[in-house]
Amino acid sequence: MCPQEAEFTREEEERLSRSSRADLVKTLSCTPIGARTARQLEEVERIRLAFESAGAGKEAPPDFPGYVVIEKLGQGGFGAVYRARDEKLGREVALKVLLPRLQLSEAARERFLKEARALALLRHPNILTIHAVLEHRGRIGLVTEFIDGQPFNDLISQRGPLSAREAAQVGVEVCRALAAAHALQLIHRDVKSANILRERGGRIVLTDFGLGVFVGAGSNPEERMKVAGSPLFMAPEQVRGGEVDARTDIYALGIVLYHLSAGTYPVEPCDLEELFSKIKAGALKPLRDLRPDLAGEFVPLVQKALAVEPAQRYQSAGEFERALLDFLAGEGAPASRAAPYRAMPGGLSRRPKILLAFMGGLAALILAAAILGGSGLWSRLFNGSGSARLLEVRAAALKRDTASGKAEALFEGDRVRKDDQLFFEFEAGQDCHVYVLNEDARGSRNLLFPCAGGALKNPLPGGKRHELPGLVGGQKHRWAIDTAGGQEWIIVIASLKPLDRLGELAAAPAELAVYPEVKAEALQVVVRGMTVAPQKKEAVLSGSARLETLIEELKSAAGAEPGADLWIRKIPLANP
Amino acid sequence: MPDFTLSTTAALLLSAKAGDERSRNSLAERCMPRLRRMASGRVPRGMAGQVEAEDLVQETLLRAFSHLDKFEPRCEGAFLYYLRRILMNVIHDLGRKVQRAPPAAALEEEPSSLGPSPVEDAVGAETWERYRRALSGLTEAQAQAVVLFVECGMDFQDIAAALESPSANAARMVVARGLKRLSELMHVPPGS
Repeated sequence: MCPQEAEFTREEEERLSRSSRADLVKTLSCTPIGARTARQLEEVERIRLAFESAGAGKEAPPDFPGYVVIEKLGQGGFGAVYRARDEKLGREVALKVLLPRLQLSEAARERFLKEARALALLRHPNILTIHAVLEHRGRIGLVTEFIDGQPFNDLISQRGPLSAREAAQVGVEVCRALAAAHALQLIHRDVKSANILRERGGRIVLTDFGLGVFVGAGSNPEERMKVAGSPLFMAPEQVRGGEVDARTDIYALGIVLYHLSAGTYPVEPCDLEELFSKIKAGALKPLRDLRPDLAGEFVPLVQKALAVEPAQRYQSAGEFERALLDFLAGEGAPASRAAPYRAMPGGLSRRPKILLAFMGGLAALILAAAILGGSGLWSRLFNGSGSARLLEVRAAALKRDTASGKAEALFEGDRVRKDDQLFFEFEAGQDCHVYVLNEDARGSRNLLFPCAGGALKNPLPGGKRHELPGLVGGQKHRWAIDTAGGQEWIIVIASLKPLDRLGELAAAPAELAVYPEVKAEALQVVVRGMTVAPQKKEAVLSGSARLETLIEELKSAAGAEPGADLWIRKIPLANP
Repeated sequence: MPDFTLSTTAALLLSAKAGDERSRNSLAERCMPRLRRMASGRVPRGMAGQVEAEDLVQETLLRAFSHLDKFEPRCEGAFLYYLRRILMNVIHDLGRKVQRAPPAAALEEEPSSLGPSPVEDAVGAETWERYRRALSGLTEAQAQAVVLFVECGMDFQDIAAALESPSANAARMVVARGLKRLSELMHVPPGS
């Protein structure tokens, strides 16, 4: 076909001459060009807008009403993540926004929304919680919980590999997250060290379900067989373009555990063709060659997850978890030590704020040892020293009674009101000592549990769900908010051994007051110190700083008691 | 050709070809915003993080200046069109390089070679291919006008200057004809 000059009537030319750059195509579409050409013209306009979008707004921060962007946390191929403040709820959130250049891409938007829908279906302590999907002026964003922590790829590169025991502990939690997803027939397809975060405090969170695919009846087989994932973590069936299922994620988790324990990957970086060929052939460098010091039973666990044939792997996340737990239970002696960690001044999270998160109602094997950074604690946690036993916290949730009679879980930043009645639900795998404290914005602290006259006493029996504070004088009790005002923090500490130093701290005047008496006639324990006047911002910060001091004190206390595996959770509440 | 055009791109091209460093710099500076926009739309998703649009722009200009003797200076539009061709070669070469030896970090991400460019991502591979095919069916003058409008985001005044059209309206009509013809060719099956 030979191109020719297109002719326009005088009237069309006049209309065209009045059109701006933005509406030239629209004006052109109104000329008698035929429906098919008009459709193609629309496509050209989309291409023009895509170039405009790609060339402009590369770094334009999102401006979703009601959210104030605080800082940019990072950017990937699809989206950028910002730390933001939800002005209405007064809490920090993570805001993941599709890159401006992809705003016009239906495929990218669909992937983005798919991740949102997948996250919305999942409610699990080890999975990122989504709050909302936003759309404003053509930009689309996901609001999720903000996690103050780091992905494991960064941690490993900064601190070196973990011991077998530590890697297994992470594996157990990821298995639990995967089990929740697989129960919905959702396959993650992108399980990798960078998508597993360790929150300050020890919670492990699986993120980024953007490549997730549903494999149940009615799902799209093309989608299931699409080559997608991160090459180093891809299972043989993914590389071959075969169907994926739960075992595909198990393979990827095997690579993660390999990476965590060896500090490197089972295949050296090479071109994709060679990499895929090695994956398909199962030509992976033996973990034992890299870490001859690893605990004997751990290596076969990883090897089984990495079997080329899915049928030879663990058949479910639950089965893998069971194997890891058995390994951990058999770790009577201290696990082998990992390579020494490089010192990291400034605490655990120098690159703080990777996305997202706090989760109440968590039921998870929480990494033994505690919280809020500090290389000493990290070393204690991840060097395999310390207790031979592992503190397994199975359930831990701060809850509030509601008028319906059904209690609701309270999450970080949730608002409490005067007369709210709170309790803490807790279960551990072993007998353990639990302490619940409260601090207000003025820095006033109270020991809420154990309480005088209470039927529940430390150590709380393991394997049983407890409601704290429990029965007092034969009646079920609650902690009550008796006055509005300011900010509150609830701190829960669990330990395999009694924290004698806590008693000393509690006795320290003006720092920690043990609640003296319980009103036996009331169905509640009135919490002294939850009554605070409205605070200025400085005062809130001051309170928070004091809390940090308390936690440092507790860490010191734990450090002074070898084997006192410590689990700490801090729950800030708004009490305006 | 009016004298004033000689003070712009064509003049700069002439003196750049003669080896004048300042002219080269001025020419690069002049073309960079347009080239950057064309490059931004073409960085394959998988190369994001390894290659930025700016890298493509730099490499394109380096290649263009090292082969300037092969280019017959006419107007800015023609030069931008020439840069566009070099840019596509640069992306093609980089893509092959990344494929051959992806850095370790790249392997932790989604496969680079599988990623479309932002524009391809936005409109779909099929439409993008139809556009590219149809563009090659236009006369060079039409293709330049369409590229300046669609890919470089230039307004009609700038297009007029780049194509040495007598007025913005004349440039507008050249673009309109080019777009119409392009759209007609886009629904012609390949090989027809």
